[in-house]
Amino acid sequence: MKSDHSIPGTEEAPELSYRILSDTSSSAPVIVFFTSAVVWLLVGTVFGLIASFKFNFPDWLGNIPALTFGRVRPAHLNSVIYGWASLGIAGLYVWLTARLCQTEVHWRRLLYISAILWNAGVLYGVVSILGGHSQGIEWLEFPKGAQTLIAMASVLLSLSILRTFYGRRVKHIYVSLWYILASVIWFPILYVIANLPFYSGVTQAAVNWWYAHNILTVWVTPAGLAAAYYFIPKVIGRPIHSYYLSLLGFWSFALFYNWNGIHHLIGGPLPTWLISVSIVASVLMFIPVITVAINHHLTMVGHFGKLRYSPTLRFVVFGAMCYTAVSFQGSIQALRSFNEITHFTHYTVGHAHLGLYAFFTMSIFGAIYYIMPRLTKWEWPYPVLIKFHFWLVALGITLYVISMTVGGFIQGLYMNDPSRPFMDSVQVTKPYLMARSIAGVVILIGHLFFIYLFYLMIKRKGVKRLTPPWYEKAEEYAR
Amino acid sequence: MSDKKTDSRWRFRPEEEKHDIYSLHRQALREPPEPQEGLEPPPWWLWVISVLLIFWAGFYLGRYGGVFGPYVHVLEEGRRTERETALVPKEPETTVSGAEVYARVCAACHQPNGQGVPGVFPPLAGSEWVLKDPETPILIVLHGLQGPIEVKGTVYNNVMPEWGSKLSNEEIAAVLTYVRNSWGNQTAEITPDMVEKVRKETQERKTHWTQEELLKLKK
Ligand code: HEC
Ligand code: HEM
Repeated sequence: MKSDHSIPGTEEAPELSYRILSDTSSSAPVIVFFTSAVVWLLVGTVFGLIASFKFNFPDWLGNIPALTFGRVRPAHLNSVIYGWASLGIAGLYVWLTARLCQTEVHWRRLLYISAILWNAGVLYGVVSILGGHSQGIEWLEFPKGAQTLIAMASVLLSLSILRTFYGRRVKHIYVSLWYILASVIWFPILYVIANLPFYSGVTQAAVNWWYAHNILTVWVTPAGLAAAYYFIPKVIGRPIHSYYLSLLGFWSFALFYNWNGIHHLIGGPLPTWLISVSIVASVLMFIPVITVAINHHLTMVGHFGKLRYSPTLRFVVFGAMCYTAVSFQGSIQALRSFNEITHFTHYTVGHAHLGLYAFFTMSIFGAIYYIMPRLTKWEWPYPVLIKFHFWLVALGITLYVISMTVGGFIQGLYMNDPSRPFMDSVQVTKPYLMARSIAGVVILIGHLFFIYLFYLMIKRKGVKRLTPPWYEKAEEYAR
Repeated sequence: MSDKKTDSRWRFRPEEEKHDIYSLHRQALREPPEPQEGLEPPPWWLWVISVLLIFWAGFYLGRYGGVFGPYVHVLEEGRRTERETALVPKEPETTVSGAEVYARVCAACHQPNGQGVPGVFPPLAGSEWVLKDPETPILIVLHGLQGPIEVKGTVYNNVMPEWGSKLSNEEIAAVLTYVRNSWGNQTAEITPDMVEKVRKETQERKTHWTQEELLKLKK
């Protein structure tokens, strides 16, 4: 063991050689995961944009069955969730686990197989949806074959990560790692249970939303939080504010979040106590969310100026703030009196993007900006494009969320007003839907900048730089 | 850097790359150490918020937890707020469904759409006999009808059996209310009490009505 990490020049600081060791071993699999994630991001964004334009021009592409709304929408949802988000999470987890365990990635072959199966599953699934073969259950539209591939892929990923964890060289387990471990254990279990062929009728609906919300609980949110917990203290170079807050945040999160799913079925034909329990759990999410927010905020305090000089920090902090925002919004949205306005409106879609985009996707962007130079040994070639990327997607998603939130709320008020014909509630959303499409175009352009940069990174092309972006301006923060 | 190597250049191959250790691991070496955790205590108000939230949770579950039992879908059984009571439609007086009785009894002749069959069964939709006063249709259903009858300008001559002995007051009231408020018809509902009254008054009648008798009764 000793020989494979004794890198000349690092004898006095073994941590450095471990760091190099873990980056070296995670390089290939993580690049594979990130590259395929980015491809799915592009695919998913284009589907999202098509779906969005269909609200503005209902007849557009209406005569091509594969591109009708009923197929494009699930194609969008599934390619961003199982393609972009999941593969991005896989890359983040592999890299971060090796880093935090100060060891090399174990069982790398499993990771390659996992990446292949995962991509094959998503590709097969999305093509099936476009071809009209959908299971018709939201978030579970993929046919059984695709689901089997993804289930196997997620098990392989988890095995490799758990094996790496087992080989750790550290005593203390850092908070990001708690989230990662919980996540890789929960996710395969969740995914397999939700796909068992036993459910029908009301039970199916309950299982459906138990699953769909738990994807956020056990997969998306832990990844975003693991990134925030790691990159914020890492970049600014000070400890995370409080270990006790980390503990409280993690355990209350684990205790309350997985009960939330049924709040999607308020007013549905489910037992009242089931719905009420999920509402209570949704509101109790204030506890972990406030805890995490304090922890991150007090770590950042006094260092907000650094946002200007670290691409990672600005994306991750943007994401962390939106985590607080989306969770507060979600807790309130789960109350019966509020939900009866916003249910069945665009408000929900605004909430979904505040969570999956403004929180999660931004955090992953930040993580990728940090991780890639360590894997390819190449600096981001054009810092100005990073600025373009950030501002386009940040403004785009802000416009997206505001237009859907305001438009959806008005739509809900109109729908609940018996003196107005239903069509009024449709008409009134038109300008907001147009704003959403514009936001989508802006986001897509931002993504194109990002994808171009990412391409240059893996090809090691573009201007050869020896320092990270904005290093000249703030040497110690631009890492 | 060895820029001439094009294939999988991102891969770390120390044996092939000839440069000093710093430039090779620049990114990893310039980092600060892995993050640590501070040991600040949580702020006191976080505990206050948490306790209040948990207290609220108990209250909410107690009040809106529903019940285990046949009313499991009813929010707060027996304790509806005023607003919710206003939203819930008033329970109809009778639990018999007029549509159901119509489909079971009358539709065979008068057709599901109430249009009857030309020349054989007269229509109920828009019929002056149905819409006029409440007593006439009650009488017809109670005791039947026969002989020539003019409906919407057409004369029919057939026999309609009596239903008084087979249908209860509630069923007759429900089916007539349904007939009088379907297919464009719109008039006052008929209650079981009205049927009961007419039934009492015409207890002795054993034969079907005729058009003349009905018209005479009305005078
Ligand atoms: C067996 C067939 C039959 C059934 C069943 C039947 N009817 Fe009739 N109904 C007739 C016929 C035939 C006439 C016309 C009688 C005549 O020519 O004198 C008639 C006439 C009527 C009339 C008066 C004429 C008109 O069109 O308004 C009413 C009212 C009426 N039926 C209501 C009902 C209702 C209510 C029911 C169900 C409870 C019912 N009928 C069931 C055959 C039927
Ligand atoms: C250009 C960017 C995007 C556009 C224009 C866009 C557009 C849309 C549209 C039109 C819908 C359907 C809404 C409806 O049915 O009314 C949708 C749903 C959804 N999108 Fe996006 N999207 C974009 C990016 C993303 C990204 C990057 C993610 C996640 C990482 C995402 C996650 C979702 C989810 C989860 C839903 C389902 C929402 C629900 O069920 O309420 N979207 N999107």
